[in-house]
Amino acid sequence: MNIDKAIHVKDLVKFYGKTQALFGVDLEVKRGEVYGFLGPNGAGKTTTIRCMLDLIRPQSGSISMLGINPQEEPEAVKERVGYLPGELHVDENMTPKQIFRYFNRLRGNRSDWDFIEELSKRLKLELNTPIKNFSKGNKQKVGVVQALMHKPELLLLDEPTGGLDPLMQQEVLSMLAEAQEKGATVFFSSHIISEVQSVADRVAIIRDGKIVEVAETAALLNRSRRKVRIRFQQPTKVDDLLKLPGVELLSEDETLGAVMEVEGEMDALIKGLAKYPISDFETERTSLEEIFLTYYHSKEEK
Amino acid sequence: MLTIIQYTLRRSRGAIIGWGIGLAVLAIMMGSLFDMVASSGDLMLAYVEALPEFAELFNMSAMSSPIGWLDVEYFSFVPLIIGLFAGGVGASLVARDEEAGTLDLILAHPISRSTLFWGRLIANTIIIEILLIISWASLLMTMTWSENFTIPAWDLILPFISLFNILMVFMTISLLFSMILPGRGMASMVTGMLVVAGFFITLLSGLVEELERAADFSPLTYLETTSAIDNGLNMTWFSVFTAIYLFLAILSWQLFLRRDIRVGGEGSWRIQDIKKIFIKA
Repeated sequence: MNIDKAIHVKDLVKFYGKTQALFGVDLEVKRGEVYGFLGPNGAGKTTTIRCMLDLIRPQSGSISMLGINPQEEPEAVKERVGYLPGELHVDENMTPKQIFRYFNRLRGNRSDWDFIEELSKRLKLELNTPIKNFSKGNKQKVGVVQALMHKPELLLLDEPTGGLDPLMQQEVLSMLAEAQEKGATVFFSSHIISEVQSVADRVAIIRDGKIVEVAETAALLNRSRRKVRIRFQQPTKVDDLLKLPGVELLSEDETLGAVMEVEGEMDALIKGLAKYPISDFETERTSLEEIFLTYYHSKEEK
Repeated sequence: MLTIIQYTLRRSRGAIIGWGIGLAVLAIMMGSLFDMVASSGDLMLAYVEALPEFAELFNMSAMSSPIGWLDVEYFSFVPLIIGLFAGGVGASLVARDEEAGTLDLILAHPISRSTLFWGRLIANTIIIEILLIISWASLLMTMTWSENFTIPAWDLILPFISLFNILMVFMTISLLFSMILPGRGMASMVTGMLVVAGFFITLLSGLVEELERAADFSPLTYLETTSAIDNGLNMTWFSVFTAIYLFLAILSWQLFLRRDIRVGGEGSWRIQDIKKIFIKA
């Protein structure tokens, strides 16, 4: 077992009956990093996370969580992990305070009640109202607090900001960043690309039960295509520019403009443009969302 | 485990109060009615002579004694009522939270599946015991104002001990069904059908010869009431029933240890999961 990795998943295969959900998933999450797990609904994100907690058993493959095999010592893993399920279901007749007290007791009263109150206050969570009276967003806040309240070494969060308003989404992402600063590893799944882009150090993209990309978020963005808008001072033929490696013409208007897409380094294009009189030059980096979508479009092309 | 037991009991307090009140009222009513029956002994005798088959079906000739009265009017159908409750409790032990989606988060905490399972089974056993104690205590309470309804407290507890064993069998059958059938509704329904069928088979077996053999397989046939008071509990049957429900509980526990926890809703048939017990994961 790999103890310097927070999560080490190797060749994970999971069937539900005859339907295969995971096709040999491999993941390595370093201790202390924020790791985004991207994929649309049904791609296998939740299945992977539930295997990590031994809520479901894979048919083959191995999992190590903080150096421990969750199938052999599930309690030892869960002791050190905070989990937020994708769909939060709790006893709705209870208040958040009662739920937190119950969960705290299941964890051997390890949580600091001041910290629970602090988290609740930051999320504007009413502690003494029965959960059945809560909106979806407020229920999600209960899930976030219970995942963080015992200051776990590893956070497994399945769509942590689902149902929250933008302000609360930011607050939750700040909490995750703070947890990371204190040494926690954060593994969270999402199909909201912008939040992954804003907090994740690395990203894995899962598609149809297979990991199709693992990269540092910044590197993934850098190596992606950029859109370049050029405005010339006079009508210009751009044929020479299109011969440069990685440059593709997206559109050209008959007056003075052209829109190109550049893959990789911009150096050759900038040097090539130097000989033209230019009035405006604008680049737009592809968002993680577009990168993500390219994996899905490439599938359709296949 | 204590947390699980306390939480399960706390969550079931509504059921305990509701069923407890109902069973207490029933016991008090039945106990109180005995004075009226005792004072109209001649009328009852005439009734038995006029409708001998009906009287045999309900063992009416025994109704002149307090325990005979309870045997006929109380222990004949209370096992059916509490049996249905026990079936519902067994089916809900794990499947209720699984279908509601709450089991996922509970099991994400550092408690083992075994702790959760046995903690809940113990809590549900306590709930059944509480209901039986309420029934027993209500009958005892009736004796404080009844002129004729008197049974020693220890004697009266023996039929309830026998009933407890049978209810545990119903609860664990239902629990097992909840592990292999798609949902707790179906598990509860199938158990309920078995309880009702057992009730009628046992009741009618005295009249219909063809049902005698089938009655051997009905747990209610082995409910000891007057015989327990007269001769003490039959420890052989007591041990057999204890062994049966322990076996069913252990089988259910082993299935729970090996099952995938659903995110919510009903699942599919899991009869094939039984073979997983014998195959190392």
